[in-house]
Amino acid sequence: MLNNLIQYEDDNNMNNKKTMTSIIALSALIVTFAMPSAFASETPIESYYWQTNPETCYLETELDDIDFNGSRSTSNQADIISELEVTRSTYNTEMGTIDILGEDSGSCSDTRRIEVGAFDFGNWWTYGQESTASSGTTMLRSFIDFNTNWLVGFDKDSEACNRLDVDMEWIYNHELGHGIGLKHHSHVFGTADTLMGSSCSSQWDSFGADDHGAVDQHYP
Amino acid sequence: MQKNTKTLSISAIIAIVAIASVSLTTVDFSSQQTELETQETIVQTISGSMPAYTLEELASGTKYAIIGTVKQITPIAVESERMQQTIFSDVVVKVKEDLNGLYDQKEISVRIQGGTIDNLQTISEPSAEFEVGEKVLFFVADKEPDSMWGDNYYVAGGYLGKYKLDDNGNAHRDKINDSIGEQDLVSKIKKFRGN
Repeated sequence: MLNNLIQYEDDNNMNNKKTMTSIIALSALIVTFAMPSAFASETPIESYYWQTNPETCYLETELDDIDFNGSRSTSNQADIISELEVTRSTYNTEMGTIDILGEDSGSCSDTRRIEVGAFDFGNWWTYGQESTASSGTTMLRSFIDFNTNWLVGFDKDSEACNRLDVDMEWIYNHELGHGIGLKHHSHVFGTADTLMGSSCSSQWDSFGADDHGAVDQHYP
Repeated sequence: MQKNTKTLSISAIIAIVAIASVSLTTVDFSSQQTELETQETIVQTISGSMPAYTLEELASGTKYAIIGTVKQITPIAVESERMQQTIFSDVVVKVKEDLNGLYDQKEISVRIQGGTIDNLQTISEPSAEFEVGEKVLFFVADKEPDSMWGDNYYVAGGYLGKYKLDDNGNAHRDKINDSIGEQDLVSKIKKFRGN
């Protein structure tokens, strides 16, 4: 009887130990797999004047595919593209090994790119606009479009920002800044040396000191 | 011995339940987060280089200069080959007066860039913004069916072409933070329009 009881107790202890071991093992599994995903940190939002987290993969433009089918279609496409090439060259100089061009950039997702073109935005609208689609802090796609209604004033290097005499390179300098992730600079600093001021001015002619710093920080 | 085992078992079960609860809560949190990520709002931010339209240009060159009260704002998704999907909003304004005396309907609908439908939000920097119930004065560009506005009127000059009228007789343009007396503004517009 005593032997039986001892045997029962031993069996019982053994069962308890097995149960506990199983439960602990199960808990360990749950903790191992569940906790890290729950506490994974989010991508930090950039503190400079970037509107989104840029990645080099986004840098792709389609200069060859510009569609000039606005209500005032123009035949000076070659002049316009040569103006855009000046901007492209400026950005390529600033961005080290990154080349902003129309060729496929290898591993980049097709949706993560900058496209440049023209669109009929109407007679009483912008010279051009940039549209960035973002999910959270991640930029998905950027369109830079020039208003075909104003392209009649974009056919020469006018070095000006007057009505019907706007320098297309200036507009492109500024809008491409948005395309690579820059906000309007004045939202953060007020007056500064930048082509990302909110109003067209001679500062849009070239990179300012703050732009150099920002680009160096994010596209080393 | 049995008591010890029992106590140990109960303690172990309580501990396991506690750990499992925390873990399951976090698992649930993770899956909710994943769900949120899949339904996360896509924000389309539009910035633009707006010509520095003067009051004279807007007053003399646009079709209508409307004073009225915003009655309704309806977001609408517009597809285009170039821009993909963009949210615009149709703003219906109860018309009090067209300063040019040409518009003879009780209401006018103008399209603006920006708005939200489901998980797509368009925020347009160059666009004028409206609120239901707001008293406004704005310049209306004629319809340009081939443009992005389609067969709709739109606010000429975006944020430069729309004033909010307050109860103290002042007119404001929020995005450029300027202000002018309403009567002064109306007089200037009528003068530029040759009325």
